[in-house]
Amino acid sequence: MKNAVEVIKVHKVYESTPPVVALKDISLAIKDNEFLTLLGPSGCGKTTLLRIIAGFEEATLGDLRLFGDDIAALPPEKRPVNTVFQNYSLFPHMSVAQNIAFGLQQLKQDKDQVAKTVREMLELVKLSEYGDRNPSQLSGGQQQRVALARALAPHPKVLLLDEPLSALDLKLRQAMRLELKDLQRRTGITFVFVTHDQEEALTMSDRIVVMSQGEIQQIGTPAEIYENPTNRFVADFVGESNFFIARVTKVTKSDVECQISKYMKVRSQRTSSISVNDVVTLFLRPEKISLLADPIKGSHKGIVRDIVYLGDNTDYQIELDGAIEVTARAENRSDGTPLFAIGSDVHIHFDKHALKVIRGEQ
Amino acid sequence: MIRPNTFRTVLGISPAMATIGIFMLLPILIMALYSFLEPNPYGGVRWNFTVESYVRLLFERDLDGRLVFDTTYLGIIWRSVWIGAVAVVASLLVGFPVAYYIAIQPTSRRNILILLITIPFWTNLLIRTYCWILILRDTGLINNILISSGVLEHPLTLLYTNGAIILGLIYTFIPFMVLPIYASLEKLDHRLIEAARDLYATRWQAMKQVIIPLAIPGIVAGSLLVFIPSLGAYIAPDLLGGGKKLMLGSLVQLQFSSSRNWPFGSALAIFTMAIVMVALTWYALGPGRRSDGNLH
Amino acid sequence: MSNKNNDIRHIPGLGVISLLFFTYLYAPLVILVIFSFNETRSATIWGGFSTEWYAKVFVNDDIQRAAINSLLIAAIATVFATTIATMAALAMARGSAFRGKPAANSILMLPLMVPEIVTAVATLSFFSFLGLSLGLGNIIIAHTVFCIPFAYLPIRARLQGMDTTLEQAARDLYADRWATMRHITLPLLAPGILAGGMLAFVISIDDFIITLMVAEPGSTTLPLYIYGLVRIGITPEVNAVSSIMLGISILFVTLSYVIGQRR
Ligand SMILES: Nc1ncnc2c1ncn2[C@@H]1O[C@H](COP(=O)(O)OP(=O)(O)OP(=O)(O)O)[C@@H](O)[C@H]1O
Ligand SMILES: [Mg+2]
Repeated sequence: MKNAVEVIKVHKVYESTPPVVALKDISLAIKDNEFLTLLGPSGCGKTTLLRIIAGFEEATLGDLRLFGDDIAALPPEKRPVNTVFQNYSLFPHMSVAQNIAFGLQQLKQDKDQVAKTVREMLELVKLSEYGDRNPSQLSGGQQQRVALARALAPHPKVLLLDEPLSALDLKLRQAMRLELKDLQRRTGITFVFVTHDQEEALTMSDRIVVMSQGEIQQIGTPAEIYENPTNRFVADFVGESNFFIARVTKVTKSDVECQISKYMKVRSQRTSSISVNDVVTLFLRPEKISLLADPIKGSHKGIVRDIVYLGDNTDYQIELDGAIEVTARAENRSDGTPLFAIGSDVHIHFDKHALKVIRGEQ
Repeated sequence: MIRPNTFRTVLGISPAMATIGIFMLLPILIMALYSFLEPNPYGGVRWNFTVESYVRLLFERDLDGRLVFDTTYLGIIWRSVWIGAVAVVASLLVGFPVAYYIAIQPTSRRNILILLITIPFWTNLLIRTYCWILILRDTGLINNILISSGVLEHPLTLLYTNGAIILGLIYTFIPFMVLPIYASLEKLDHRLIEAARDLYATRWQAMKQVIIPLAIPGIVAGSLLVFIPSLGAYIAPDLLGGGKKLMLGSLVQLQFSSSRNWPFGSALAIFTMAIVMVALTWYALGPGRRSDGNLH
Repeated sequence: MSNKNNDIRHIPGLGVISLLFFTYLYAPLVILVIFSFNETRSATIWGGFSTEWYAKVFVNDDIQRAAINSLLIAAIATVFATTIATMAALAMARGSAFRGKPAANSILMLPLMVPEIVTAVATLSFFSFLGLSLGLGNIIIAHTVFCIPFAYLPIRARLQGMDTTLEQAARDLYADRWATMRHITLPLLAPGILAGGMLAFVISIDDFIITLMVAEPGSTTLPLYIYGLVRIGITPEVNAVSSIMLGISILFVTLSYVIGQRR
């Protein structure tokens, strides 16, 4: 099957003073019917990539294909791609229904067809009562849904969404996540969704593209990104992490042993091409650490230095071996109190599969 | 992709360029040409090249045709410059406190006050100047009040004086002073003043060391905007100065009407424009540019 | 903050100066209007209320002719200037960055930079050079040029304040360049165009010095007519015509402001 969108070696330089390199040699294949998320910190080039696909911006170098066709030279109105803008960009001089009808009218659909689609779209986004309103008379969440309906009405092959939920409050955002995901499944349209919210990315996407400074850091399913980040940036940006810089002291068939401080050695699963004396970065998610009152085999002793209450969980800053600090996360007791108090002794334990070696020393 | 099309862009501005080019730039060039021709006593020009018009700025021909240094026109130019300068200084002294006062008002009130300042600016210059005749003339409002209240016996001569001209110029052009100063003060972060006061500056020190330096671009722009039209003013010298106290603007007008010396009028107009261009260039290279860099 | 005495930015006496300033600005206009209702022939001694001078103005043929000239010139010059200015503003704000752009911007502002008297005599020289004598046409041409920047500035400001993603959204929804212009840009720009047009109209109707130099006999406009009356003597009729013109200007400027503010 053909890919919905293929971005091939796209390079983008804004000719401002000074020039800004927004995208560096980006290659990406977006599959048909998939919910793909572009995730990355502010300024990493997500919007730029989206605008190049939509046709608002021209790539400095590189190719762009839509279902196999070269579309790089087409203006936006010739691309079967629609956008949900970050600030919605609803036409202020038109009613909600007129906004939704706009694309259909430009496609010269006949009047009855347009009216029918508009009704369906209003129903789809649960705004049937609001067709005659002016966009300014709607709440943020409603405006967002109108923008969605307007972009979906012409039934594009690909829908581009630029941080569509960022202006909404937390509750609404969570509800909209589910709605969006559901909508994507029902319509079968390819969604390219931009966000800098990792939780949003993890909960909604089929695949996530993690970007940083104009480059793709990793592409993978949410689980792959979370469990097996390929570099420190991804591990750090998605979820919470402990990092240790360590020297490899022993390599066996399945394991590696690393020295992470003067007296402390840890075991981790062996990955390819590692040899003794290599300096590596190890990473460990806080929730993968078990906290114990008494030592067991393979556990490490530490002292609780600080605790951060998070509601359902508590983060514990634990000092190990008088030198290293790790953060561990554990559920609170059923009465809501933390398991350990500041200053108390604690033993930590983690599975060797939880501790991962990632590239390089950085 | 969306790529702005240079051809369409040029097409879009070409009507404006053509209109202004043909009916403004070209006329100025023709006028420059006229300044090197001989006057036709019935109006217009005779096609003989001469620099007589420029010579006339400084010299007069006596009966034998010899050149004698003559300060009549220099005197008028000088008068125009100093009347313009007085108008600038007076506008600044009044305009600055007013602009500052408006800038510290709440937003809604500010907008109304600004509208109140712009309204007279858009109304007819002739009528606004005419109002002052009603007030200043011998049987005008001021003299009427002073005489009927017994302060004076004979009317004061208020109209047809330099003072009247200056008053009229300030009256018509002071919005040009207030608005740019207001624009630069409006952006002023009042926390700067708080910071200055916090650091033990008195009101006046804060004014001198924080507010006025920040308002400099506005003050410079405002001064230019008052000076330029004052220099070329015709109505105020004509109606309030009685047409006898000439300024550059009225002198130019005179050459093209009753004096029928178009080449000399053209030379004077060119000269007026040169003064303005020098002032604008100075502004663009000096304070105008600095303000762009500094205020953000 | 709103309490004056606590406001750290406040300086004593400012309010008084400002009050005096606004009095200075408006008192002459108020006096003019008051005396236009004066019963007696004297233009400056109050003799009771009367609207007779307005009645006289409305039956005065010369004034009517001048008024018609003024309106005709202003209407035509406004249409030309506003059209030209709208095209220029669209090109400058939405067009590509071409090399002559800064120069084009300066040329657009030229009519504001050159002292009016210079524009006036230059235009006169130009018409005489060409031997062009079109009656009102000469004045219309001169006014069109002079009005362009006044129409241009509010339109340009509105365009700059307009969210460009709206136009992009239209393109995204299959509207081509012209459909976007027609359905999105122009409707949203309309208040700016209206505001610019009104200012151009006021500038044209009020213009005196350019008209004085360029006008041929028989092309008298209202300001020229008023000037002629003032030269002869101060009469209540002058006050009445002037008050009417004042009212028109104030009305237009206020409307243009209100429209320009509308989002
Ligand atoms: N029109 C422009 N001219 C110059 N530089 C630009 C322009 N638009 C974006 N940039 C720069 O390009 C880089 C990428 O911008 P982009 O908008 O794609 O980031 P983003 O990932 O969408 O960020 P955010 O999450 O803040 O929206 C940034 O450094 C930005 O400053
Ligand atoms: Mg963005």
